[in-house]
Amino acid sequence: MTALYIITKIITLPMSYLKSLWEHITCVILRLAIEHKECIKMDETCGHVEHRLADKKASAYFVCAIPSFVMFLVALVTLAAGAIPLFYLGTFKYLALAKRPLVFWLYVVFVYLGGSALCNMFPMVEDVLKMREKIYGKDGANLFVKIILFLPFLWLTAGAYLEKYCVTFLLTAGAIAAGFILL
Amino acid sequence: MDDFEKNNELENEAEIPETEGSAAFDEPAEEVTAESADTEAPETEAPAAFDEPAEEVIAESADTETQEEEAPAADEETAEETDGDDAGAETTDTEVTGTEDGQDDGEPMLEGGDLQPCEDITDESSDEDGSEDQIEDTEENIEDIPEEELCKRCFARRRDTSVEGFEYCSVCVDEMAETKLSFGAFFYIVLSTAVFMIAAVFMLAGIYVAQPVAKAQIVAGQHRMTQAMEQLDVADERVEKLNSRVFGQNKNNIILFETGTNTEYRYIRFLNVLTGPPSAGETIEKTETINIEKLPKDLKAIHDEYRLFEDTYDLVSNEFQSIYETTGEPDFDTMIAKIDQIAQENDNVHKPALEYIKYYLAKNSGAPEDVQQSYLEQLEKKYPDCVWLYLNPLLNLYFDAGNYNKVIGCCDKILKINVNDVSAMTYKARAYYNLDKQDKVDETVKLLEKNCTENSKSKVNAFKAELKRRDGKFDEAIAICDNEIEKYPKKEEAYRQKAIALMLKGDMKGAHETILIAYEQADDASFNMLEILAITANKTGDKEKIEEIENIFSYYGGSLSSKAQACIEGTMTVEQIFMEGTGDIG
Repeated sequence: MTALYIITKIITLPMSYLKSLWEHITCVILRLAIEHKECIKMDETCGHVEHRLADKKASAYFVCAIPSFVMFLVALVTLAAGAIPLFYLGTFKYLALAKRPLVFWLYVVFVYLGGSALCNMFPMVEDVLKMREKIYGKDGANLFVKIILFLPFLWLTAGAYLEKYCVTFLLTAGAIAAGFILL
Repeated sequence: MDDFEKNNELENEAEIPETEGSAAFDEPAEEVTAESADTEAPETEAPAAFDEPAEEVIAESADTETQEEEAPAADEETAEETDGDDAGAETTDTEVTGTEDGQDDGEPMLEGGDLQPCEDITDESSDEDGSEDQIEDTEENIEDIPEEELCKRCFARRRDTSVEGFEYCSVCVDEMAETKLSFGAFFYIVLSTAVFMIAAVFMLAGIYVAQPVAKAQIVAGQHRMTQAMEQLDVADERVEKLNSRVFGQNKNNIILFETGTNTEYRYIRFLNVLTGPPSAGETIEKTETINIEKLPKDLKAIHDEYRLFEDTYDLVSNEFQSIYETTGEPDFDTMIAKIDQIAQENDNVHKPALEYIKYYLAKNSGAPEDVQQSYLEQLEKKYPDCVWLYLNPLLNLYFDAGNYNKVIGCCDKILKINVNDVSAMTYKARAYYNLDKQDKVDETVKLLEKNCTENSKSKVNAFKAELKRRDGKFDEAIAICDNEIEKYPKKEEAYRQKAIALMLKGDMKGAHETILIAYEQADDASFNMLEILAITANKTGDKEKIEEIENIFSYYGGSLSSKAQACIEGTMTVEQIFMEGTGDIG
């Protein structure tokens, strides 16, 4: 499973590296000790920065949420930039592949980057579990915060597990492949 | 303090040479004990140190000879064990080990009798925050820290045990919390931000073009076909705008943005719904951005039907041509029989087209309208799905025949396909007007106002002017037309209705001038407008214009309608044409 996970991170290298950089920045902002700043390691923390687990509730939440939100934004913009002209409008579809202009290949690159960002959107399972412990645990946050953060927490938790078992990669790759086949 | 030291040294020097007598040590020990009682010397520890058995003292001094570096650490440890009086400890240890005195022979020196507190020394050497002491203590105690408790990063300090299972000391944790990005990583973030900005621009451009296309799909689902077609035109305009903005006048015809092949497919599907396979298929063949070999299945079927339609027409033309060449121009019955024969002998022909050709032949040969009507009704009965073939001609025939209930039925069928069809709604309103159902007329006009598109608003207002002039309210009709002309100076229908209202009012010259404006600015004048122009030219004596109009009609293989002809000849008045019956020429 770890080997498969590493393979998906290598395939989506540009965005897995960007995700780890954003995790690094978030840890610096939140004053969380970064144990190893190497991002691409051949283990289950590939694409993530190894850092000290957060002590505070806010840190535990934001270390998961901020990089995830940034990558979501990147995924949305780059995927839309490529998918709208390629899949929805069918730009340059009538031309043979060799005759398609450069801008067509730019759209393809955007789709690749957007899909990679989708596959690198979620935090590590450890961070998510720490967040759960801090917010919903024994000395957790107050009820109002629990309610407000429930949906983001659910999203991040589900996503972390899906990403860990490469389900996000399979879904994204399948969707993009279907788009290109139907194209 | 110096006295203490001197006393200490002197006594030590006196004691260190190998006298073993305890009495020699007793006095100094008592003095030390008394002195230490006066100071902050470890009262509890010093006696204990003095009470140490000789073996322990010997062992400590033996260790010191080989481990001089550990002496300061040992001093610290001892200091921690006391009440903080390092001097006493150091002095004790020093005296015990003898390193300060430089006597490293390892021999036990004393049992503590000559020990003197040296807290003053300690006070001078200690830091205010005690960190050096801590470091000295740590360094001193590093040997004593088990390996599993050492910081994994610096291996010099004890781990931060406040966090269970954590592997680093607090100093390293602080340093790690400020780990900086490498230059390469920083550069990568800048590069990715630039890529993100470029992607954002393309995303916005894509949304700008895709938004009217998406709207077209939505309104097409609501059977608003005219609105859907207009939205696709908006998408084309936006693409032109974007490309010209990027490339200026687009001299090299470079295309960065385009509506895309999928949008062309949508356009053809809408066209097929509105006008049927002939026009949709023709569009497929003429559009450069469509590759016929890569068509989706439904468009392939449309294209195939178009080809069959064209081939059927060609077949019929060839057959009539051969008849004409052999026996001369065939009569109407011969042509109808020939068409039936072609339908029976050939399976690969467009059967609805053959039925339509019968109506077309009837119309061109001047057959009575009921005969034409019968052919279309036969077509409707046999092939009810081919509404694009029979519905509009049937509607016109019913209207001309005064069969207004059937007109309303036809209009309802057309409106089911396209809610925005202004022509169908105006015919329906006219039918209700002729049936004297004013409430239905008002209801239809409201529906017309609600469902018309932006581009057809001028036609709707012109129709309202028509209803006013049919009610005899010519000035109101003219006012409505003037309002429309001001808003949409290029729209022909407002000029036409104004000219009719002016004619009915008796102002032929004004009517002629009005319709001339529309004629001169029109790219493609409609037959309806040409007929009004012909009437006004006749009434004002503009023979040049009449000739010009006749030439146009003959060029297109048509002629003036019977009503226009009758008006020009004087057999019908303007009032009879525009106030009675259908209320118009066409």
